[in-house]
Amino acid sequence: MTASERAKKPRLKRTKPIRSWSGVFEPPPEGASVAGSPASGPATNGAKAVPEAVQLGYTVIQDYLNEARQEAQRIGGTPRDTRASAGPERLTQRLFQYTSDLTNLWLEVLQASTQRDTRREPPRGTAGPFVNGYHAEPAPSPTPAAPQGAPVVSLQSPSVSLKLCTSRRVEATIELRPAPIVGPLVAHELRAADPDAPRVQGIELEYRSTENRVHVSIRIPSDLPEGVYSGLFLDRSDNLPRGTLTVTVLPQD
Amino acid sequence: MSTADGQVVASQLKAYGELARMHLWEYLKTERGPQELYRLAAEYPRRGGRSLRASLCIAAARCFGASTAESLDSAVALELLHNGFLVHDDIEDESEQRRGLPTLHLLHGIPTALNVGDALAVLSLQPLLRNCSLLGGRLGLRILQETECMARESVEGQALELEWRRTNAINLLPADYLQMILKKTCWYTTIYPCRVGAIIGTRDNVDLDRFIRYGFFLGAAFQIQDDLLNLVGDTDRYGKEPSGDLLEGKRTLMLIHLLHQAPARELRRLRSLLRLERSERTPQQVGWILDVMKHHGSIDYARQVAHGLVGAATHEFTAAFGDTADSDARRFLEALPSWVLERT
Repeated sequence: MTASERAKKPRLKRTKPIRSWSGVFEPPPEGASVAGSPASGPATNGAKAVPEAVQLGYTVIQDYLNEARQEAQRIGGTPRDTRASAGPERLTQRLFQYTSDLTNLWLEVLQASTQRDTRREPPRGTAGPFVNGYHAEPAPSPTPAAPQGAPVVSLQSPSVSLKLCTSRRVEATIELRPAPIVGPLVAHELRAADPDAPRVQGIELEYRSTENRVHVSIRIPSDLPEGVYSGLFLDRSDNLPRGTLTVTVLPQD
Repeated sequence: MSTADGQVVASQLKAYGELARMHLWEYLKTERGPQELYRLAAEYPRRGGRSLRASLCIAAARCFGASTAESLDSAVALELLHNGFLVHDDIEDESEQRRGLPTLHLLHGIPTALNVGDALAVLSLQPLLRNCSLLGGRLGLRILQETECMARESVEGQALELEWRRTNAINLLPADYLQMILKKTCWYTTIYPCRVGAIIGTRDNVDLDRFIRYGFFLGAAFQIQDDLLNLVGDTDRYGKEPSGDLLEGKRTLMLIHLLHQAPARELRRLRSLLRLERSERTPQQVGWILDVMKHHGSIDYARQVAHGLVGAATHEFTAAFGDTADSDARRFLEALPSWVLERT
């Protein structure tokens, strides 16, 4: 530059705002198409690689999900479980599932009580060891008395009493874990799958160790939307779950 | 990534990882059977590792209200299976180093290593079955169903990659690579742990598709960064032999980019090198491939792609975990995508 020349700003590459999403990372070249179609090769430009990679990623994952849904429809199951909504079919299926769980629980309770009956002491004076239905056991050692104030822990599955206050048609399922309860018990509020759905609060739980029974009291608000609400029972002694409570609010007749 | 985010990830990985490892030893201790088998099964876990998969599972479960104890068996099952996969992968890839030491098959021979890998996979069933008594039969079976799906996806992904190498596939696209790592890496590294954690936390009452998207973008960025570290990472900290992927002829994103960018003369040489067996490739040839990758911007390209995928993972985090309450676990999952790029 000679002394007589004036210093000038370089010419701007762009004098108009970018109004196209396809060119948000750089000015779109002449005749540019939508970048990142799955059939395209890798971008050579670093700035172009980022939006192309994201778009390509979304294409790949959407194709995968579509394929999984088609496969699920074809075989009539949910191999990758792409269920997106809780439609009537799904609710019915879950209703059957919870009913089946309750039946299993009931059978387990029956089995436990039956086992107690078969293990009652045989009549005195029988000549052992040929006793029908009973295997002789070594004489039990005297049980040490529990220290004063110590919680009584039962190893048997507890029974359940349910008090349900509702004007709605509901089905309640209680699933207890095979672990001893020390208590006291607390219950989480019952939640639906939809995080914005109202929750069922104020569940009262009481474990009576003397009768090895859990008393549950639930009040269902009359305006609670239909759906499945579930929550956990926790044992305060170790804060570990001891079971789940599920309430299905059914459609009105 | 901010320093605070980095600390969240580091502290949670440490805490969850230690819990998972302690629990894992319980499944590798036994009084019965050949002790040598269990000693070798504990070899890779003993060498360290971050327990990323276990941590993801625990964090996802905690995000949805479950306790750590409820998710621990699922997390440990995944770690056992992962270590079994590693033993078999090392044989398939003819790898020489794992976590800074010689691979199991180099130390003890292929038949023994294969059996150890099988043992780890079989041992992973035990904690999954234990889920049935801890979480109830229905939830236990549901997790088992997820595990079957994850394992199938993983072996399908591995089959794709092995086939590409066997047939010396050249005309691959970035989309092919993403489809392959979705199956091979993302399912068992990120998608499955999030899904199982959410199943436990919600008692299987949540739409699981959203974890596929978050897990895919997170896992894909993780795999690309892992491939980059293999080529240009810190040799001492990486733990595997440097440029091992080039020796193996592994179809990484960088290699696919190079195959599209290299001029005809270089492409001819590249094809002939890729056709060779691993044992036939020399360090000079591998060095040449790395040089042309750098020259044609393949390393930078992969870095850019990883950044883009991390951005998408951060976006998908909101869809996957946005409705959960603030917690350490949630902050961990939120900061994880950025951490993927920072790790060495």
